[in-house]
Amino acid sequence: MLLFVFGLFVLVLLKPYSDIKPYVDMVFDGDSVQTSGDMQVNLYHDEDMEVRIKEIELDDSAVDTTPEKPHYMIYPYYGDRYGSLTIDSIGMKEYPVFCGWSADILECGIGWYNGSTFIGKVGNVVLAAHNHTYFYLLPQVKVGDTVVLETEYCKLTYIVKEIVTFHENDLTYIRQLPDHGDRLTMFTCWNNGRLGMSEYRLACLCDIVEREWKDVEVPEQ
Amino acid sequence: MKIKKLVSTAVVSAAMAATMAITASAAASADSVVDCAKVAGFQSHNVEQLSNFLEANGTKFTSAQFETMCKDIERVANNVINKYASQEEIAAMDDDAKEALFKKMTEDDRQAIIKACVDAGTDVGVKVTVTKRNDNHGYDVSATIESDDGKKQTTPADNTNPKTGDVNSVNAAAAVMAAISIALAGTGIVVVAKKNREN
Repeated sequence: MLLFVFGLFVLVLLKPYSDIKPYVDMVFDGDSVQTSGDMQVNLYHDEDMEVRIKEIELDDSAVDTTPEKPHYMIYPYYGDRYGSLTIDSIGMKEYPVFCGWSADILECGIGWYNGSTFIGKVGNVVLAAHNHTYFYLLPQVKVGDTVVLETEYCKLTYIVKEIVTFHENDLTYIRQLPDHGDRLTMFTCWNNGRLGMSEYRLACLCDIVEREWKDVEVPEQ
Repeated sequence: MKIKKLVSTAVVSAAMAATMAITASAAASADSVVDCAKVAGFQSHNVEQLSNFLEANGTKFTSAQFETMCKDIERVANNVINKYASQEEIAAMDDDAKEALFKKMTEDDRQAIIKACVDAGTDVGVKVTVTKRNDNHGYDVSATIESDDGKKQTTPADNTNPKTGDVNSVNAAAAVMAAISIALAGTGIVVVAKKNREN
């Protein structure tokens, strides 16, 4: 019994539970869903920054499920919680999405690349996360699955169109599309199904099917 | 020759994007600034970084700063980028060709661009930070803005290849397996001891 307790003690000492959980799940075939990713401290700005809101217009050709509503964007500061990602087919429910994808942000959730399109606008929205935590389940996504990306100001629904692998130096999938297409790109490290670092990435390319704008309270100037 | 690779093309692009961002002005001029960046030869993801920065922070800069920014772009284009390709040649380039162009730059030219970024930031009261990465594969660039009310925000230029694997995966897996083994061994000893007592 002493050894058993000692084993558990060593386990806790060696790694924080959140880091170890994916591996424990792997061993015991458990549910690896985890959604507690709020950053406790944002290192990139002071507290109580002004809320940055702006009304935008979309081209007539853009997918827009609520064209009658004003389209207000709330711009996040770097490191802020930006939204959530849900892929029901693989059990991902409201995983946290943050603005930016620096190393500390990717410890807390999914990162939105600040060289990609703001969520809600037309273009290539690019998200990334670690393959042992928030995108641990990404390789299970299949073509045709539904993906919901939601922020305070809009809700976007996508369908997975293609799954690709690419080298980390290939920027094809994180750049804007030549035809200015409306896409969500999600990727993580791809090590042929194993965990760990890799110079290759697995990406799910998704086409937008719905863009719903929410009611936003605009502060008086 | 390896020294020349220290400042990666992505970093140079990001640095220039950050500079443009911090010297840019408000709404009406934002689109023009983005167009200038495209003409100067910046890759599309760096142009998008600039565009995003302007869209979110455009009201924090004045028209005069916008003018400064246009001059900064022209200066960088004329003094550095156009040494390697004419404006017409750049206009015909796709992103891969633009990346190849940056790879051809000398270390001195890349450093000149980085210095111009930092100086331009200083001119408009914005702190541009360029930090060499630990992995020796380039630099991290960020711009810090202080609002009228004294509050600060920093916007790093995200690099294009974030590390999305588990850096400690081998250690973690080994730790788990070791701990599970110990736990199972402990359980076995308890069971055997219990059996012995029963017998």
